[in-house]
Amino acid sequence: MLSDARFRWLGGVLIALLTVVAGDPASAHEATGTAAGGFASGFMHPLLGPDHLIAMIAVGLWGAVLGAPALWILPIAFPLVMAFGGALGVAGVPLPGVEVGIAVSALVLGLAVAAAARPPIWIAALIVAAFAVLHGHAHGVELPDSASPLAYSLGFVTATGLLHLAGIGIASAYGKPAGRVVVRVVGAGIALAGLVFLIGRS
Amino acid sequence: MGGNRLRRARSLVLATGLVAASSACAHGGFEGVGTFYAGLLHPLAVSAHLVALVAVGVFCGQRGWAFVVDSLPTVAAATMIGLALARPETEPVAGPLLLVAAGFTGLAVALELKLPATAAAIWVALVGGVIGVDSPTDLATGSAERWIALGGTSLGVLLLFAWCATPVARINAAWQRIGIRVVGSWLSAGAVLSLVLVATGRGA
Repeated sequence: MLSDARFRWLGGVLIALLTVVAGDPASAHEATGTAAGGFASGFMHPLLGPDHLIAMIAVGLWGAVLGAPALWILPIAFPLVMAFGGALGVAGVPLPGVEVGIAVSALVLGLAVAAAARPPIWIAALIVAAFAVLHGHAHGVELPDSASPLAYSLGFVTATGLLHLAGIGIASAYGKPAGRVVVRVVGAGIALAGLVFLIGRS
Repeated sequence: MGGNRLRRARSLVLATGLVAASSACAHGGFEGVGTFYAGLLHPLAVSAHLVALVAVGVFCGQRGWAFVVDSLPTVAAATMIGLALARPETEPVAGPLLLVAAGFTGLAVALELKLPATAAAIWVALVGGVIGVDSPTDLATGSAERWIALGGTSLGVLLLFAWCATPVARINAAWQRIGIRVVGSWLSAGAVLSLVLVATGRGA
């Protein structure tokens, strides 16, 4: 159960987040578009793409397998690197093999979790960063023209972050022997799905 | 002492909110509300303002409660100065500038950057000022209605800033601090993407 102080803190954070989400400028500023609709559209984008979804969960899982400081560095750094990829996509800079790369990301990250791989953090960061650019590029290219762009961007960045958190949550049992097996099986499942996506796109 | 300051600040925020609820005038940018209320709601209506305010509020909250309280008059004054200077011609420049400011502020939060107090205060003032400059109104210069609208907007900015900064200033646990840094990265990422959209002509 939450203590009073933690409950109040969480309540404040939730209210602040709801403020961001619920801001609807439909009657005031045509230029901003429909912020709530843009946020929702962006939020759903990673969730409606199974390749995005499983890869992002795998990032959270692998962060938990790697342990601190990767556990918290990845959720902080990933959105920023993804935004760089997104900016390339928005600007129309082509990147080769984005869709194949996204499928590969699910395969590689899933395998890393399944194998409980713990390379040096800089190697793990490079791998994740490369995939973050690809995922961001895909989101940026698919940005709908009619949505409020900032709200859309915040939406898909938030959803991506929450998927990481889901992965970290799943891997919270990694400390226990049975939990370790579960996490690695989930990783294997993600790798298998990534392989299926890759074959489908080859 | 810290508890008393917190209670006084809360009372001030609540009292101004209750006072604001009693105003009603003829015109507003939002249909069905008065000029003061329309101004009060303005920061919520513009995504870039909202993101910048959340970012700067979280940034100040990370520095602690004392800095948040000290920043309140800075934010208020800077916003009012910016509002007084706001013109339709300034919007094309102020809008992207605000996104840049939001991006850097979010990055500072993600990195938990500890700027010197003076530099941080100047940064907060700049963001408040740019928000003001990016909020022109078409109400007649010097008219009472214009001042009412600007007053409402100043108060809206201040309330939203305090609302975001207060819970962050109260956190102690390591996991909460990491969560705030994650939020900072989200805000920065969103601002960067939006800036690129504006630069490529696809954004508002």
